[in-house]
Amino acid sequence: MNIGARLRNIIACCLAFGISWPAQLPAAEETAVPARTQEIILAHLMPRDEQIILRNMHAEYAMSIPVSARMKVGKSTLRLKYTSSIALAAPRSQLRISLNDRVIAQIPLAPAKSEGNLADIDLPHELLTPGYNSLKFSAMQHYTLQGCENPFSPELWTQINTIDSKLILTSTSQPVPERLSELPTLIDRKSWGDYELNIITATKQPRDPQLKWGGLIAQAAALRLDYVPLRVRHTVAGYKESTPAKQSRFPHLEQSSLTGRDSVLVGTKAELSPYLDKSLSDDISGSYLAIFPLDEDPAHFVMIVSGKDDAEVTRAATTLAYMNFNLPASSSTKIVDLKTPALPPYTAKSVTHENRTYRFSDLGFENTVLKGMASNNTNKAKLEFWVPPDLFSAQNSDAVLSLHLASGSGLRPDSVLNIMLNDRFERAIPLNDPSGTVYRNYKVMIPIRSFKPGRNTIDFEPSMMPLVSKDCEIIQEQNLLTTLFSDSTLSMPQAAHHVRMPDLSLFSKTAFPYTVQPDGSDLAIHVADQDSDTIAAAWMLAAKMAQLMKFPQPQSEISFKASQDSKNLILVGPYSKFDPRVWKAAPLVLGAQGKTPYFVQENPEGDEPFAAHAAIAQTSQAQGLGNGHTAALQFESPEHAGKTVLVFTATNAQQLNRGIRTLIQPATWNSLQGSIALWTDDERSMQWQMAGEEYHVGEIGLITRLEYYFSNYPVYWIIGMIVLIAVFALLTVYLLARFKRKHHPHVGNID
Amino acid sequence: MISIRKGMPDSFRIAWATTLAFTVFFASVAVDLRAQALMAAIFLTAMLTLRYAHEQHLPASLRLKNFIRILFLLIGAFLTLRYFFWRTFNTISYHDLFSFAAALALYTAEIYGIVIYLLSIFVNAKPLYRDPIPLPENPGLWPTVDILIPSYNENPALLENTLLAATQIRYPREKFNIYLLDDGGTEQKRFDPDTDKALSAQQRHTSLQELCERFGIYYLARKKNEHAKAGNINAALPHTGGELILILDADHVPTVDILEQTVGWFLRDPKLFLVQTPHFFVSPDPIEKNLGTYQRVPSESEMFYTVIQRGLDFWNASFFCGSAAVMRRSHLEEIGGISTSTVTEDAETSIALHNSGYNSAYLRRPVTAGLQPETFNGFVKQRARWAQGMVQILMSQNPMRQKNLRVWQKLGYLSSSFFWFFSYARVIFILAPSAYLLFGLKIYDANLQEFSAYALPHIAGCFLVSNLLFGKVRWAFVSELYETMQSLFSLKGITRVLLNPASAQFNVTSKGERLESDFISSSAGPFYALLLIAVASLIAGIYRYHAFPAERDVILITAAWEIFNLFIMIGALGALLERRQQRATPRVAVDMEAELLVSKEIFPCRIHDISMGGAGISLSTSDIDAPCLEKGMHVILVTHNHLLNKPTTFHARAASGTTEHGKPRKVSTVGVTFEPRSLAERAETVVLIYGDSERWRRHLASRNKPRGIVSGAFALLKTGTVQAIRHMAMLFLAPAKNIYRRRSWLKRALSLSQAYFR
Repeated sequence: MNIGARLRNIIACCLAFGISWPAQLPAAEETAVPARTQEIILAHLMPRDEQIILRNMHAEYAMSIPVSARMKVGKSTLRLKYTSSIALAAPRSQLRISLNDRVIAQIPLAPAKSEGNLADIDLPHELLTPGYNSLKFSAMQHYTLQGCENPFSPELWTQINTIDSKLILTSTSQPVPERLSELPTLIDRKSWGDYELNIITATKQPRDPQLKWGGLIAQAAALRLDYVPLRVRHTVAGYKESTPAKQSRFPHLEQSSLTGRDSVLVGTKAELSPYLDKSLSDDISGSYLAIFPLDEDPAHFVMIVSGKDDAEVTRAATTLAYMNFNLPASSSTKIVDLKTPALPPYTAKSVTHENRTYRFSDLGFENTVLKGMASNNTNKAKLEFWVPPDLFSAQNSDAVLSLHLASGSGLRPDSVLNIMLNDRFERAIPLNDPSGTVYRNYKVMIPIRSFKPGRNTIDFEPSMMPLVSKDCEIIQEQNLLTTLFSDSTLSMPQAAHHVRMPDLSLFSKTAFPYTVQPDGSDLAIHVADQDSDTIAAAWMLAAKMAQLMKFPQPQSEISFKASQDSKNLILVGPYSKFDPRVWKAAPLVLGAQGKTPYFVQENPEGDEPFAAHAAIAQTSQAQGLGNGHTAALQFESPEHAGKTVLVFTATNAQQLNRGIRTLIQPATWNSLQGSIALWTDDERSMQWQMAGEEYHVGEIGLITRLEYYFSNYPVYWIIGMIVLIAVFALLTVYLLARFKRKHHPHVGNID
Repeated sequence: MISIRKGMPDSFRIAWATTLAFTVFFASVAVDLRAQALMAAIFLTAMLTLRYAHEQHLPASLRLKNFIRILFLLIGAFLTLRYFFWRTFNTISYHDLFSFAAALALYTAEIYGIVIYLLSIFVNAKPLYRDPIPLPENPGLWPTVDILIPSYNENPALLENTLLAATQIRYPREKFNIYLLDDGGTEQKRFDPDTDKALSAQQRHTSLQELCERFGIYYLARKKNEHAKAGNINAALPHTGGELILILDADHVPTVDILEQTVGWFLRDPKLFLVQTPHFFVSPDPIEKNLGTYQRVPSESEMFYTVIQRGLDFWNASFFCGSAAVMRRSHLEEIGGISTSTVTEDAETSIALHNSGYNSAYLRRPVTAGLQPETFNGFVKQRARWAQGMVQILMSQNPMRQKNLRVWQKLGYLSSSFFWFFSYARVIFILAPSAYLLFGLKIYDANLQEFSAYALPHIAGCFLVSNLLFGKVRWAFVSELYETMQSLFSLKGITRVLLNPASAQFNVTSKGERLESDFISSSAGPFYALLLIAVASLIAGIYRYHAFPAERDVILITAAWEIFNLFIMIGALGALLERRQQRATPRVAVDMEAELLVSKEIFPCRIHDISMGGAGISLSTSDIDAPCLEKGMHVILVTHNHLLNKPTTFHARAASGTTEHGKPRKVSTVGVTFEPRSLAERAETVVLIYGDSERWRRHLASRNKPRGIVSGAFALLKTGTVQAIRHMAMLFLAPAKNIYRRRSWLKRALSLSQAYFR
């Protein structure tokens, strides 16, 4: 049973005992919600920004249009900008557009204007259902109207401009259903754009437990959003006098500032009671979760996370973070008990550990049949898995793919199955037997160092050609088949966990080193300021880390006080609020006594010690980040050797909040690297550099340690070996001389 | 300067062992390719620098020179260890059954090479340069010696030289006896059911008995031919009584000082059982003869007799080589005489005596002059016997299991016996590139970068180490040529011994044969096949280069390897064209003043070459004063015999080529044919030609000159190529010539082409 299934069982058991069905409360009143129009460029619906180029006689490209269940789709239009080759023969060449496998438009591909063609295509709204809708572009391209043609002629192409093409969608929001089981559809990655969540605490002076609850709630929301950035706001509940005109669950909660986004009200029963309806307040008799529409905005919800004391609230928030199954189908629930699983270090979804073998099916791969010779971005088998970020092994250690695959007969001998690791070509498997190929345990070795830290993807892309493919001959495609079976295996070599730090790219890819202990027990987040913007910034970072790992970190410590334990630390706040001791080991010092490293020259001798990697000019100067910059600094804890300190800071809390909101955008986040990173509110403004003392993280055996150091510092290794061999030679010369004196006393020393 | 206190030496041994362990351990640590490449580059540069310092004798102190030598060797060994660990753990994987089998075969061959290489470094770390120990002034204190000359079927004329030279040894005559141990005249032979054989044996028995009687030598012939040469010597032991035994092969003509040079060591060390001296050959081996390298290139055997035996001597593991050796009777009898369970009785006997706690010594002073086999077939037969015998020793007398041998002696013997598996490795090295180029078998999982970082430094290190250890006595690639040529034949013999250790038989090597004309060796067939395979593989390599672009780096490596094999094959073909040899006894180059008496006139002259049959002379007079000589004219040649300290007179006749139009003519150079008129004259001739060990030493020194790796390789390649072309010309043009010899134009073309190739 995998971890997810185990978690689901545990939570289901807890809920089964703790669920309470509250008294019937008035349903959310149907309120007319105004329609709104959203536009999204096609590139943002694709895995990465790229242009769609449809080549050859027949080519396809498929993409998904996410539609959230919270939206009721009205009119929607695809505004398509495309350019075709001038060689295309108009009557026969066409672009076919399908939505969920139904053809919705056909466009003749006439020779293009140089600036391209524009087409507006209405998408039938009944076809756009909640979930992922398949939008497919199929090009049938010819350069001649009569006679035979080369199906792979280079002039057969059409490009769809994904930056200028857009989807325009008009929708109205659906009222929030009062069921906790609907949370996945409410906090939904299929919502267009970022999702913003209000976390409301009920005391003017924030407390450490509230930080913890907010962190867990932010993680709970982030996990539902998968990879979509979560923006978090922190507000303190506003009190208002009750207006008995209509019945409300939050008669004293000031709601005017809460509309337009979902909110979570978190606190102990005593803290929240002033804002709640009495019956609702009375219902909080233990760890408590509930969801209701906002009175003033029924399309958004207010969740209540509460309990009689701090521990019960923590349990409720933790449960919320773990709830990834559509239960309970009620508006509220009480959690009597919660047992969380003990996860081993380096747990992650589809994780591959060193010296282990995994069947593809263990990694979520299913038997996949690849068909035809058409260029098609979906005609590939994808294996996704997670590699621990600090894996170190010798350069010649290989991961071994042992593949079980079969291909059809009648394939031309130049047919191959290309293997791409993270979009980089690694190997090709020949499918060159005209009578069909069956490979059992076909070995493909991939150096372990070719893998990225964290998530990796291996794509198996066929390039199959029919045996009969001459001009004017009917080309048979039905036989162009390759099946990759899920009993294929991936074997990881022996490796150690040891990595050179600082390295912010490891943090951006895997939240390393904070996620080595998956429950967060080795993570302390120190929030240096009690300002709401700073608090929200810390929560957003906690949420982002949970998104990277795909599960929450309930044992992480988050506090306004610096942790005294030996833990990896994330320090969040304006730099003026930091304890001066923080700067002792930092590569960049901000403030009146500031120090700045300026990059001068990369040292081509990359194997020199870390400090010599680059020539750095170090200045001491009064400096700040100014209004508009946010910084991340990573360095070894001056108090706990081997532990990492990661500082997120800005001039003030508002800038810090904006900076973190920018940081969690994929473009910014993925460009984090080095030991000092600096960015503005522009998503593509990341600057970084490597400075400061290096240190190493991870446990490592003697031999692997030697491999690591010898590989990274070969000059020292060589000098050491020369000294060792010289000593060995000296001893040998002495012992040979002694041997000679003893055994051959009468023989002279003539050479 | 290290000061040594009592008790410290053990600390040094512990420190040494610890350093060794650390070095091996660190050699096993895998590192990135870049680090490995950097290390290899630095270490190879260090080796080149150390080699230069060593060769130029830059360090004044002997101790520093020793340190440089050992450091150089250890760096080379370290590079090889790096390669070994990488090769073992990173380059072998299963692709398919055939590839895996081929890969394992290659890996095993490489491991063999690495083991032998490391053993060779150990053995030759500090060769022992031993000098003769002078005998006491009082000859009464000198030990008695029996000179045993075992014979089987050698030509009596050949034996005569050895016997006669033995009688001329400078040692009190009453202190030594000479025994001809004739296994060709045993009762078993004389009463052979085959009457022809019996008659021949009887005639040999009678003639040799007479010869021995004339020379004052004892003739011994046993009843049965049991245990070959070893049995022959053992059968003679009860009939002899000398304290020491000098064993000489029938063709090993001793110098007069052979006992003066060797016996002293027995007086110095009572536990000494053996003083072995080198086997020096006055004739070229067939490969030298056929390639014409005898005068220019150190003999193949020199590596063993100049370096390896000295290295073994340091470790008290130099061993008996069957001849040119003096042994102590008491020690030999203690183990029951010469061992007989293998066909290399000599090495086997040495193991037994070393295991009994006795010592051996090796004295590199050439005190015998022997003959090499004349034909490649004879040469291969001899080497196959050695290989079989050493493998027998490894199997039945495994030195590593001899309880009383010290560990260094075990390693020495392991090196000597395990070496003979080279035939397996050579055959694999020849065929391995073809396995990939022709059949696509995946035999070596590495790319060009890895190969360059690990394998090339290892190979370069091996060449450098080899050059330092053996550079003076072995040109580059000579080992490869000799071993490759022997491998195809000795592998069969070794395999037979491995399957049945008792199957090996003692074969006597033919010596002193005459080859009337050039001919292609009958052993050439397999080499044609290998040459064709190499050429086909290279053609396949060109195809693969274009057809499999992803494998180009592997193809380039393998093709380079195949080209190397091709060169070796070309050299082998050159050596397989057997060149004629008309003299049974080779001429020896000398430079002696002499006088030629022609018709009562005396002409000063110099002898520039001499053999038992005659001499080549240059007259020191002007042409006007030169004598008129006619072929067959009787002349007398007189020279000072410094070994006997008196003049030696040769009665001779002028050889052919000294007349013009049937009349005598004045000459400045002349050949004469000896016609000795007494036994004393023959004896003096033998002494003059073969008696001077200093002459042999000088001869060796003139040949044993170092040659750079590249220039040596090119010289060998050039010689081999020229001879291989001659070989192919003979192979293809001779039949063509026979068929079309009546066509004059073709005859002219053939003559021209032959002239060109010559």
